[in-house]
Amino acid sequence: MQSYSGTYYFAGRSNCCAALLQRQHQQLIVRSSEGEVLWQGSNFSTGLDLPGLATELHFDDGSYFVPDDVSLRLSVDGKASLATRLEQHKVAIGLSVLLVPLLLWWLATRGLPGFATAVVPYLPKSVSLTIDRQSMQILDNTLLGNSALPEAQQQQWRQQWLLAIAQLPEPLLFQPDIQFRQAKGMGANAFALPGGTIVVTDELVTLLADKPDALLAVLLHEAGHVQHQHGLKLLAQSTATTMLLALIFSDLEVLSEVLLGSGSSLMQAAFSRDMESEADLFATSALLVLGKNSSAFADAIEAISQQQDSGSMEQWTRYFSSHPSSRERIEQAKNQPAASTTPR
Amino acid sequence: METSVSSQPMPQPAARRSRVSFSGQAGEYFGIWIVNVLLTIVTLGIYSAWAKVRNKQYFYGHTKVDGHNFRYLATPIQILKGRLLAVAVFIAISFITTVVPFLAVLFSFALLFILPWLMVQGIRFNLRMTSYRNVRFGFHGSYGDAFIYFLLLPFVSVFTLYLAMPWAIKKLDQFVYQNISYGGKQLQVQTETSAYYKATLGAVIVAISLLLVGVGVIAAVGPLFNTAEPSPLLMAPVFFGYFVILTLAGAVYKALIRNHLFNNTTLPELVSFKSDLPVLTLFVVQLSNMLAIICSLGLALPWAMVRMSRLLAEHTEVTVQPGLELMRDKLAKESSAFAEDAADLYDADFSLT
Repeated sequence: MQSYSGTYYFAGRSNCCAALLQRQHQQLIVRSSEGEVLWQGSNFSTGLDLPGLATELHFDDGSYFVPDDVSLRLSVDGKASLATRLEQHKVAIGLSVLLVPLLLWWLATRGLPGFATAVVPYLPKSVSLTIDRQSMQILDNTLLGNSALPEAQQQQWRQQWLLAIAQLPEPLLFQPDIQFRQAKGMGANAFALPGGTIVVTDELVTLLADKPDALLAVLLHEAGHVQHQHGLKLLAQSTATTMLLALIFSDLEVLSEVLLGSGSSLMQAAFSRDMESEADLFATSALLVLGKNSSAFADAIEAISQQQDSGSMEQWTRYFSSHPSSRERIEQAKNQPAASTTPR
Repeated sequence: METSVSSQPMPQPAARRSRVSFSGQAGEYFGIWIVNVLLTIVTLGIYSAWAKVRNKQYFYGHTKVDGHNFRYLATPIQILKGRLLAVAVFIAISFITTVVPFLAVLFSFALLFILPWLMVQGIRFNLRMTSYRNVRFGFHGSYGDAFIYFLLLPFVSVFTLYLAMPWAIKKLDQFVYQNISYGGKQLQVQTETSAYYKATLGAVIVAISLLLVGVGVIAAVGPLFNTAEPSPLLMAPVFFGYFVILTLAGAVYKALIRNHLFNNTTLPELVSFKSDLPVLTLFVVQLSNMLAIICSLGLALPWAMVRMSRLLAEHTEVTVQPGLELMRDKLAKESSAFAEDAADLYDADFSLT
């Protein structure tokens, strides 16, 4: 018969006393130092075992016993649990130190974007259409104003573009709904909503008025965002990122807010740069299909970036930027025809 | 409780006074922490519930008052249920507000009213899951009071140019601590409003005077570097100085308030507390913790947590009256099968942290 010294805590009250635990097969007896039996039976469970802490024995009436010997394991096989063994295992710890940053990096750059890309196609189309309707309503009431372009001119552009899009071999997920708006804050710009709404600002039309192909290229770029469902993918990815980081770094308190904020927006910026490149590729290959020169896209980027002030800072801000650098994009577009003329 | 402690006709043994002891080891805890982070990532967050219980039990088990450690009673499944619900709600809200952005306004308004309930729920759950000598803690704050002290008073103080804020925070602390009970007996808090004003004023004076010194230094040194645009090399020390000053001001406030709060809180006739946390020690530990965490890309976090727990324990003294051995667990007593079930459904901490 083995016996162990420790402390017995009575059920439902704060009283406790020094006690001796005796074990006979599956039967346990707890005795006070006077020899009085405090608990006996076989209906007990062991508490969590943690490095450096004694493992409690929980009895069926709510009382418990804590052995003095911190390393004592009274479970059936007398061994520590798998979790405890891993937490004390030098190799497991070393491997964790190595794997945690690697896995976080992989999740940020591959796993979560991959998850978003896989999940989003299962969303019903009506979701995207509702987003468009609701968002346009809000945008029209806040940032956007009515277009100053004559209605006839709007119609003409629209027809020309829809005709071009109709010639693409791949049918589009959403029929583009092209809207012209005036935007004081945005300048020359265009953007797409998930359900196929593409907004073109008056400023952009004016800027590229004498380069119709460049304007078409911008439109195709936006259609690429719609086709690849980039808007919803970004949303799915940022939701997943926020939750995963919150679960992992929940103990960081103040620091976690900083990390959560900047960490997830850095990841998002990286994902969004990939998306811009994907949309660029869609636009340049569509231009080729339509028999246009893909450098039209380069013209558009050049014209827009000249308007904005971009300089030597570009390479420094790369990691914070949601778009690839203009130079990168222009080069990519110019390389496109070369790549496509190579024999297949 | 019917058995009033003071009426017990027995010879009064002496009260026991001791420092809180914390026996956790940074090296040991690092292993627990990093392995749990890895398992959490590999299981896409599911294991975080088990990780939380293990982390909590480690810190509770290593914290001893009067020779007895605290215990964390929550089970991983309980934690997981609360988290899954929180995650589901989070996904639903971020989805709905994207599809119908107008509802975002409505949600944030509704959240304002749900927030106090969530706060009370979280505190209540955590205290009920905390046990000392096999008797659990409890929390009795109501939703109405939580709304007043968590939201209304801090909000109203903004309109007094924050002048009433220290008073509002004093009321908030009082609300939280006074509603904590042990074995059905509630803590008594007799904090002074003036102490909160002194701590705030101290922190503000430290921050402003050091910021002025900093501005003076920049004005003196700045012209030596005759460059048109601010270079990152020059901005770094400025950010660092700002960070140090804010940490120092935070330490002034935290140490003064903690000491005042502990020294004026008792479990009547049973327990009294004393805290003598020095401002400068707290500042040095906090600053070095933050720097170590940043420089190690987070790997120093377990060391920092153990270090902070040890510092707080070392500067806390608890005086226990012998009557503490006669407490009963009110929660265990009133648990019919139904109450247990209902509590199980209701008892959850809907937070991700």
